[in-house]
Amino acid sequence: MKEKYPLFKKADLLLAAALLFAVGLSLFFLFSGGKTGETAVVYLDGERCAALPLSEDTALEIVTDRGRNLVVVENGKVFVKEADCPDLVCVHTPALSAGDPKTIACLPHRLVILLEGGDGA
Amino acid sequence: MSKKSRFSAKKTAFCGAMTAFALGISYVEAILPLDLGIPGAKPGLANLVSLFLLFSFGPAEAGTVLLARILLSALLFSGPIPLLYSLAGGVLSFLGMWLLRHADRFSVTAVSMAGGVLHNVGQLAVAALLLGRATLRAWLPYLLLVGALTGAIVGLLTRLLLNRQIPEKLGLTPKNA
Repeated sequence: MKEKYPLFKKADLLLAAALLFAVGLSLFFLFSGGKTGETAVVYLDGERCAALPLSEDTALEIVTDRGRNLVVVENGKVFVKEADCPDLVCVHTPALSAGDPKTIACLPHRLVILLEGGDGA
Repeated sequence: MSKKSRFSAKKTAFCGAMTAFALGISYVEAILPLDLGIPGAKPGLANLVSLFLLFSFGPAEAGTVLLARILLSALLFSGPIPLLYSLAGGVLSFLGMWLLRHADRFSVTAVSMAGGVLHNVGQLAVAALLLGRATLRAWLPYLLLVGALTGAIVGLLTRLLLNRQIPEKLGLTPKNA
Protein backbone atom coordinates (compact mmCIF):
# COMPACT_ATOMS: atom_id res chain seq x y z
CA MET A 1 0.00 0.00 0.00
CA LYS A 2 1.25 3.45 -0.84
CA GLU A 3 1.80 5.57 2.23
CA LYS A 4 -0.64 8.40 2.61
CA TYR A 5 1.97 10.67 4.15
CA PRO A 6 5.26 10.61 2.25
CA LEU A 7 8.50 11.56 3.96
CA PHE A 8 9.27 14.29 1.50
CA LYS A 9 7.45 16.33 -1.11
CA LYS A 10 8.97 18.52 -3.79
CA ALA A 11 7.44 21.71 -2.41
CA ASP A 12 9.40 21.15 0.84
CA LEU A 13 12.43 22.57 -0.93
CA LEU A 14 10.65 25.91 -1.01
CA LEU A 15 10.35 25.93 2.78
CA ALA A 16 13.97 24.80 3.16
CA ALA A 17 15.06 27.73 1.00
CA ALA A 18 12.96 30.11 3.09
CA LEU A 19 14.54 28.77 6.26
CA LEU A 20 18.09 29.15 4.92
CA PHE A 21 17.29 32.68 3.84
CA ALA A 22 15.90 33.56 7.29
CA VAL A 23 18.92 32.07 9.07
CA GLY A 24 21.28 33.92 6.76
CA LEU A 25 19.45 37.18 7.32
CA SER A 26 19.47 36.77 11.08
CA LEU A 27 23.20 35.93 11.05
CA PHE A 28 23.81 39.04 8.97
CA PHE A 29 21.99 41.18 11.55
CA LEU A 30 23.90 39.49 14.34
CA PHE A 31 27.32 40.15 12.85
CA SER A 32 26.56 43.58 11.41
CA GLY A 33 25.74 44.80 14.91
CA GLY A 34 29.35 45.10 16.01
CA LYS A 35 30.94 43.91 19.22
CA THR A 36 29.38 44.43 22.60
CA GLY A 37 31.39 46.07 25.31
CA GLU A 38 32.72 45.40 28.75
CA THR A 39 29.91 46.68 30.89
CA ALA A 40 27.09 44.42 32.01
CA VAL A 41 23.87 46.41 32.10
CA VAL A 42 20.85 45.17 33.98
CA TYR A 43 17.41 46.08 32.68
CA LEU A 44 14.20 45.69 34.65
CA ASP A 45 10.94 46.05 32.70
CA GLY A 46 12.97 47.45 29.82
CA GLU A 47 14.42 50.20 32.04
CA ARG A 48 18.13 50.44 32.69
CA CYS A 49 18.68 49.85 36.40
CA ALA A 50 22.36 49.04 36.96
CA ALA A 51 25.70 48.94 35.15
CA LEU A 52 28.51 46.65 36.29
CA PRO A 53 31.96 46.80 34.69
CA LEU A 54 33.25 43.31 33.91
CA SER A 55 36.73 44.28 35.13
CA GLU A 56 35.57 44.36 38.73
CA ASP A 57 34.31 41.35 40.68
CA THR A 58 30.97 42.27 42.24
CA ALA A 59 27.65 40.84 43.32
CA LEU A 60 24.36 42.68 43.03
CA GLU A 61 21.10 41.51 44.49
CA ILE A 62 18.05 42.71 42.61
CA VAL A 63 14.79 42.50 44.50
CA THR A 64 11.42 43.53 43.11
CA ASP A 65 7.89 42.57 44.05
CA ARG A 66 8.13 39.87 41.38
CA GLY A 67 11.16 38.23 42.98
CA ARG A 68 14.87 38.20 43.52
CA ASN A 69 17.96 37.64 41.32
CA LEU A 70 21.57 37.62 42.40
CA VAL A 71 23.76 38.98 39.59
CA VAL A 72 27.47 38.20 39.94
CA VAL A 73 30.51 39.50 38.04
CA GLU A 74 33.53 37.23 38.44
CA ASN A 75 36.75 36.89 36.38
CA GLY A 76 35.41 39.14 33.64
CA LYS A 77 32.14 37.25 33.26
CA VAL A 78 28.61 38.05 34.33
CA PHE A 79 25.99 35.49 35.34
CA VAL A 80 22.98 35.04 37.58
CA LYS A 81 24.01 32.99 40.58
CA GLU A 82 20.70 32.62 42.37
CA ALA A 83 17.06 33.45 41.70
CA ASP A 84 13.69 32.55 43.09
CA CYS A 85 11.88 32.34 39.75
CA PRO A 86 10.16 29.04 38.99
CA ASP A 87 12.09 28.01 35.87
CA LEU A 88 15.64 29.17 36.78
CA VAL A 89 16.41 29.73 33.10
CA CYS A 90 18.51 32.79 34.02
CA VAL A 91 20.64 30.77 36.45
CA HIS A 92 21.27 28.08 33.84
CA THR A 93 22.20 30.53 31.08
CA PRO A 94 25.96 30.44 30.43
CA ALA A 95 27.97 33.43 31.70
CA LEU A 96 28.65 36.31 29.29
CA SER A 97 32.12 37.69 28.72
CA ALA A 98 33.07 40.88 26.86
CA GLY A 99 31.98 40.93 23.21
CA ASP A 100 29.25 38.32 23.61
CA PRO A 101 26.11 39.47 21.76
CA LYS A 102 23.89 37.12 23.78
CA THR A 103 21.82 38.09 26.78
CA ILE A 104 20.70 36.63 30.06
CA ALA A 105 16.98 36.98 30.61
CA CYS A 106 14.70 36.13 33.51
CA LEU A 107 11.27 36.29 31.92
CA PRO A 108 9.18 35.86 35.10
CA HIS A 109 11.01 38.78 36.75
CA ARG A 110 11.31 40.79 33.51
CA LEU A 111 15.03 41.14 34.00
CA VAL A 112 17.58 41.25 31.19
CA ILE A 113 21.36 41.50 31.35
CA LEU A 114 23.31 42.55 28.30
CA LEU A 115 26.74 43.89 27.53
CA GLU A 116 27.19 47.48 26.43
CA GLY A 117 29.92 49.98 25.74
CA GLY A 118 31.39 48.46 22.57
CA ASP A 119 30.97 49.80 19.06
CA GLY A 120 27.72 47.86 18.63
CA ALA A 121 25.64 48.02 21.81
CA MET B 1 -20.51 14.76 5.96
CA SER B 2 -23.23 16.42 7.99
CA LYS B 3 -22.47 19.16 10.47
CA LYS B 4 -23.67 16.98 13.32
CA SER B 5 -21.20 14.18 12.78
CA ARG B 6 -18.20 16.51 12.93
CA PHE B 7 -18.12 16.61 16.68
CA SER B 8 -19.63 13.28 17.63
CA ALA B 9 -19.42 12.05 21.21
CA LYS B 10 -16.72 9.62 20.16
CA LYS B 11 -14.62 12.28 18.56
CA THR B 12 -15.10 14.68 21.45
CA ALA B 13 -13.84 11.97 23.79
CA PHE B 14 -10.88 11.33 21.50
CA CYS B 15 -10.01 15.05 21.45
CA GLY B 16 -10.30 15.14 25.24
CA ALA B 17 -7.86 12.27 25.53
CA MET B 18 -5.52 14.05 23.11
CA THR B 19 -5.69 17.21 25.25
CA ALA B 20 -4.74 15.20 28.32
CA PHE B 21 -1.90 13.57 26.39
CA ALA B 22 -0.57 16.94 25.18
CA LEU B 23 -0.86 18.38 28.70
CA GLY B 24 1.13 15.44 30.06
CA ILE B 25 3.89 16.00 27.50
CA SER B 26 4.03 19.74 28.30
CA TYR B 27 4.36 18.96 31.99
CA VAL B 28 7.15 16.43 31.54
CA GLU B 29 9.02 18.90 29.31
CA ALA B 30 8.62 21.63 31.93
CA ILE B 31 10.03 19.53 34.79
CA LEU B 32 12.75 17.77 32.78
CA PRO B 33 14.63 20.56 30.98
CA LEU B 34 16.83 19.46 28.08
CA ASP B 35 19.91 21.45 27.19
CA LEU B 36 19.39 22.47 23.57
CA GLY B 37 21.98 25.24 23.69
CA ILE B 38 19.35 27.89 24.32
CA PRO B 39 18.26 28.57 27.87
CA GLY B 40 14.64 27.55 28.34
CA ALA B 41 14.21 25.89 24.92
CA LYS B 42 12.07 22.76 24.81
CA PRO B 43 11.64 20.06 22.18
CA GLY B 44 7.95 20.91 21.80
CA LEU B 45 6.75 17.32 21.60
CA ALA B 46 3.22 18.45 22.45
CA ASN B 47 3.05 19.79 18.91
CA LEU B 48 2.83 16.14 17.87
CA VAL B 49 -0.78 16.23 19.02
CA SER B 50 -1.62 19.44 17.14
CA LEU B 51 -0.05 18.13 13.94
CA PHE B 52 -1.70 14.76 14.24
CA LEU B 53 -5.13 16.33 14.67
CA LEU B 54 -4.51 18.92 11.96
CA PHE B 55 -3.67 16.22 9.43
CA SER B 56 -6.17 13.56 10.40
CA PHE B 57 -9.15 15.81 11.24
CA GLY B 58 -8.75 19.53 10.60
CA PRO B 59 -8.03 22.99 11.99
CA ALA B 60 -11.11 23.11 14.26
CA GLU B 61 -10.12 19.99 16.20
CA ALA B 62 -6.40 20.81 16.27
CA GLY B 63 -7.00 24.45 17.27
CA THR B 64 -9.44 23.59 20.07
CA VAL B 65 -7.11 21.02 21.60
CA LEU B 66 -4.13 23.38 21.28
CA LEU B 67 -5.93 26.26 23.03
CA ALA B 68 -7.23 23.94 25.76
CA ARG B 69 -3.74 22.59 26.32
CA ILE B 70 -2.13 26.06 26.50
CA LEU B 71 -4.76 27.47 28.88
CA LEU B 72 -4.79 24.42 31.15
CA SER B 73 -1.01 24.29 31.23
CA ALA B 74 -0.83 27.94 32.31
CA LEU B 75 -3.54 27.40 34.91
CA LEU B 76 -1.97 24.25 36.36
CA PHE B 77 1.77 24.72 36.00
CA SER B 78 3.11 28.02 34.78
CA GLY B 79 1.11 31.27 35.22
CA PRO B 80 0.23 34.45 33.31
CA ILE B 81 3.60 35.57 31.88
CA PRO B 82 4.54 32.14 30.48
CA LEU B 83 0.98 32.00 29.11
CA LEU B 84 1.72 35.05 26.94
CA TYR B 85 4.75 33.32 25.49
CA SER B 86 3.09 30.00 24.84
CA LEU B 87 0.03 31.71 23.32
CA ALA B 88 2.15 33.80 20.96
CA GLY B 89 4.24 30.79 19.95
CA GLY B 90 1.29 28.41 19.76
CA VAL B 91 -1.04 30.66 17.76
CA LEU B 92 1.60 31.78 15.25
CA SER B 93 2.85 28.25 14.71
CA PHE B 94 -0.70 26.91 14.40
CA LEU B 95 -1.70 29.51 11.81
CA GLY B 96 1.40 28.75 9.78
CA MET B 97 0.88 24.99 9.92
CA TRP B 98 -2.79 25.39 9.03
CA LEU B 99 -1.89 27.43 5.96
CA LEU B 100 0.75 24.94 4.82
CA ARG B 101 -1.54 22.00 5.52
CA HIS B 102 -4.27 23.69 3.53
CA ALA B 103 -1.90 24.15 0.58
CA ASP B 104 -1.60 20.34 0.63
CA ARG B 105 1.78 20.35 -1.09
CA PHE B 106 4.16 19.94 1.82
CA SER B 107 5.21 16.87 3.78
CA VAL B 108 4.32 16.44 7.46
CA THR B 109 7.97 16.96 8.35
CA ALA B 110 8.16 20.26 6.51
CA VAL B 111 4.91 21.53 8.05
CA SER B 112 6.21 20.55 11.47
CA MET B 113 9.54 22.29 10.94
CA ALA B 114 7.77 25.47 9.87
CA GLY B 115 5.64 25.14 13.01
CA GLY B 116 8.72 24.79 15.21
CA VAL B 117 10.39 27.82 13.66
CA LEU B 118 7.26 29.98 13.86
CA HIS B 119 6.71 28.95 17.47
CA ASN B 120 10.13 30.30 18.40
CA VAL B 121 9.64 33.44 16.32
CA GLY B 122 6.37 34.14 18.16
CA GLN B 123 7.99 33.67 21.55
CA LEU B 124 10.96 35.81 20.66
CA ALA B 125 8.60 38.56 19.45
CA VAL B 126 6.92 38.61 22.86
CA ALA B 127 10.33 38.62 24.54
CA ALA B 128 11.35 41.59 22.41
CA LEU B 129 8.13 43.42 23.35
CA LEU B 130 8.45 42.75 27.07
CA LEU B 131 12.19 42.99 27.46
CA GLY B 132 13.41 45.29 24.72
CA ARG B 133 14.71 44.81 21.21
CA ALA B 134 18.30 44.01 22.19
CA THR B 135 17.31 40.53 23.38
CA LEU B 136 16.21 39.66 19.88
CA ARG B 137 19.29 39.96 17.74
CA ALA B 138 21.59 37.44 19.39
CA TRP B 139 19.11 34.61 19.82
CA LEU B 140 17.29 34.69 16.49
CA PRO B 141 19.66 32.47 14.43
CA TYR B 142 19.79 29.88 17.21
CA LEU B 143 16.04 29.90 17.65
CA LEU B 144 15.41 29.44 13.93
CA LEU B 145 17.77 26.46 13.74
CA VAL B 146 16.61 24.83 16.96
CA GLY B 147 12.97 25.32 15.91
CA ALA B 148 13.68 23.58 12.60
CA LEU B 149 15.52 20.74 14.34
CA THR B 150 12.89 20.04 17.00
CA GLY B 151 10.18 20.50 14.36
CA ALA B 152 11.84 17.86 12.18
CA ILE B 153 11.95 15.35 15.03
CA VAL B 154 8.32 15.99 15.95
CA GLY B 155 7.34 15.80 12.27
CA LEU B 156 9.00 12.43 11.75
CA LEU B 157 7.25 11.03 14.83
CA THR B 158 3.91 12.44 13.73
CA ARG B 159 4.30 10.90 10.28
CA LEU B 160 4.82 7.47 11.83
CA LEU B 161 1.68 7.99 13.87
CA LEU B 162 -0.35 9.25 10.90
CA ASN B 163 0.57 6.30 8.71
CA ARG B 164 -0.95 3.99 11.32
CA GLN B 165 -4.42 5.35 10.50
CA ILE B 166 -5.51 5.42 14.13
CA PRO B 167 -8.70 7.50 13.69
CA GLU B 168 -9.86 5.16 10.93
CA LYS B 169 -9.31 2.12 13.14
CA LEU B 170 -11.20 3.75 15.99
CA GLY B 171 -14.15 4.33 13.68
CA LEU B 172 -13.75 8.10 13.65
CA THR B 173 -14.39 9.45 10.19
CA PRO B 174 -11.72 12.02 9.40
CA LYS B 175 -12.58 14.89 7.15
CA ASN B 176 -10.06 13.91 4.50
CA ALA B 177 -10.59 10.13 4.59
